Amino acid sequence: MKTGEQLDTEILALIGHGLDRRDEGQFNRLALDVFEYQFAKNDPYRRFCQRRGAEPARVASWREVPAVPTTAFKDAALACFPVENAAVVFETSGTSRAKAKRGRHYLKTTELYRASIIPNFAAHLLPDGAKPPMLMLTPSPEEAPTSSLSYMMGVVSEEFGARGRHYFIEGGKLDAVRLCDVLRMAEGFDQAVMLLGTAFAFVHFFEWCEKNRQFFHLPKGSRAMETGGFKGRSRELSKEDFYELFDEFLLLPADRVVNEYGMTELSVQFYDAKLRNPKSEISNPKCAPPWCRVMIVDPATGREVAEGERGLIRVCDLTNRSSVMAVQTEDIGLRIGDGFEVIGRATGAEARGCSIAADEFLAANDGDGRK
Amino acid sequence: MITAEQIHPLCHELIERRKHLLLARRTDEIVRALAEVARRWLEPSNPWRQRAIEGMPKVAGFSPQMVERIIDLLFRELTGAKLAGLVDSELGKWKDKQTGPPLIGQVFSGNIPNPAVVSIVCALLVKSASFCKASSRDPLFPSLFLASLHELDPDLAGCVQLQRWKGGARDVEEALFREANLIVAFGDDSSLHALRKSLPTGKRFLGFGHKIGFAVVVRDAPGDIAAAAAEDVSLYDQQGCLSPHLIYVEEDEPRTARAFAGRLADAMEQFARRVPRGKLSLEESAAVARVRDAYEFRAANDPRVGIWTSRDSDAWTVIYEDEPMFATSPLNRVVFVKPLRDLEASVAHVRSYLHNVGLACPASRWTEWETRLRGLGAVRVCPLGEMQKPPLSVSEGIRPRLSDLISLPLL
Repeated sequence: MKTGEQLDTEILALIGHGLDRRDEGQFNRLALDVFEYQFAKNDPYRRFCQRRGAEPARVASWREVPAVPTTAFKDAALACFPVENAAVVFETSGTSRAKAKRGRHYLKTTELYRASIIPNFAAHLLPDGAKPPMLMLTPSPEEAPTSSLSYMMGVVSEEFGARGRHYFIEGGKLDAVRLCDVLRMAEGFDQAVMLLGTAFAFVHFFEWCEKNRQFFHLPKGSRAMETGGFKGRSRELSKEDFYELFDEFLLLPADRVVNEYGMTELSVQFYDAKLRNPKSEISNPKCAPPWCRVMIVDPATGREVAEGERGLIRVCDLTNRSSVMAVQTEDIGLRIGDGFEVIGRATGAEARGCSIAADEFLAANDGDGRK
Repeated sequence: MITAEQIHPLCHELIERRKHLLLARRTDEIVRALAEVARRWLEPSNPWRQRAIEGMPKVAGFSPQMVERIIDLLFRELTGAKLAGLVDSELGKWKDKQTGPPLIGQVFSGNIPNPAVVSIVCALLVKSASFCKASSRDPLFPSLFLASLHELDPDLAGCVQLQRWKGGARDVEEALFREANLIVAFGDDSSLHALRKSLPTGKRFLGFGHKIGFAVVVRDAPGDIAAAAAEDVSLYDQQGCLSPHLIYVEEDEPRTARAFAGRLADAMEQFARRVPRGKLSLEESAAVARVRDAYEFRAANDPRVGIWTSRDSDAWTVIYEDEPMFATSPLNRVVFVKPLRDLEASVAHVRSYLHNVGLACPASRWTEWETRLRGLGAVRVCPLGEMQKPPLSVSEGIRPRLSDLISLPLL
């Protein structure tokens, strides 16, 4: 069995080859090595695998590696090392329901995490090599040290934010006035900017703009990255209506707004390829980077669905080397070729008869989204 | 789909027909006709039955075998003797003397046909015409029932209109609510609330909301309890307001409840082989998978949790958990088994929805247990295995009482 350090070296080398080289054989070998390692080192995960009758000697493909449900991060410390040695601990967002436990993702080192973020972000948000000032509609990593999103904002601003970095959520509040001032300055200096934040932070900002009659004309080259759902924090919007707001208040067309799909339990992120392949067809599915694979599975059987069908998104992420590589999300996705489209959280199944289904009863969200 | 302008003439026609065709009939004749329709539905070769078995799987998502069970459960209760008994017990001396209002507006919901059919029958028994909104999840069954009634007794069937319109089509609903003397509605709390708010002031309204059921297995209960529980969970694919989400087991030693869960799993499999579950939507299937995955992980890591599942499908799931707090199920044959401890505290958060409780219990302790369960808010306490078979005489919360439908004499 390889050591964690050996595996990290190999995974870093794979990441180093960039986004365009996909080697199925190499990925599979590395994934099986990681599985063997996690099976040996991660006790709660091993017991789960054994329950499913899966062990390294009998698993021949990454597709057969048991995927833990995201709820498992709430029930157990899913780490391949003593968690007191964690370099960083990310927590899922809590809810008002005091009972709901938070999921925790323990990382042994931040090396893989950072290495995974940078080339993927660059390829999908800065494919033109631009380095616009970054305006973050999130708390800073200092203010939210357990937020994986804030951590990521810290990494990308260190790497690409030479022209300044600004966080506009402080003490849980969006500082819309300051953001407004900064955007006016950008307009004045004809300086393209990049806005990054959660979908509900953007909606709050647009609501503020509407109330205060503020409309912007962001300079050419501006762009935005939005992530996460609304989850009861602001009004619910369709994707189209949401993107319409970027155009209405910022004059930023939908093709300059990139959706990021990520979660506390994963080290990898997925992006729309709009900026990366601006000339491609309307349908622009998300693609996993070469150190990760995505399967869309039938929830009834756990088997991969056919092309063009919907199912649950399952991720196999090598950069989760020190926790669990294979994660079963609760999100519904559509399989499109090698890529996928995120349809949304699979909650809200209603009773068809006259009983009350659990989802309806627990109308409040269960709080394991990304913070 | 119907428009608001069409409502008035249709209602007017119904009221006229009722005056000439229904008021002139004796209640006994109406009972005879309804019982004959029901008898025919129970014949295996009955064409209406055949059409329901063929059509309902696509419309309402039940397996053909389940549709057969549903038909049998429904029409076995609509015999001449039971219908006459219902009339006697709920109308008594008012029979034929006092009638329901000219027109009852009925709003159906959900994929379970029984409440709709029974409610139409109740209206006919009090000689009221009905204008019904079909459920979007089952527009088929009530229409087949009416067609079968029409074949036998067109006069009776002519006093019932069944129409479809989009839920929340305000103008259509308001037009109907103006014409109808009384509204009977089935649905979830928020739809009932919205309906009630849209009624003209003073309009009578009988609402039947969604509910949560559970079961209790008391120590030394006799009989094949696991089979009885599996049937109660599996019938209607657990979608019914009488369906149990959870089974509490009184323990005489620490592993009694867990052992029961294992036996229940076997019984769920047996039942599923005879009566398969219907097809689920992706969202429903995902809800089941979410619960299954979460408990599978917990079961692997916590000896106080256990899970039993159908092989290579999500046909049924039994989850044992040592924690007694009431857990709501994603339904579709996912049932929790928990030890009975601190029952009052465990069900406190679902109390307002509690309705039907199945009880497996030695005869000597029945009264004690029934009293305790009613104290928790249970409206109906019945033997386990009978949860889905309420006698026609049971009315609480599942159908209008005939006495509630008849117009009370003006004071």
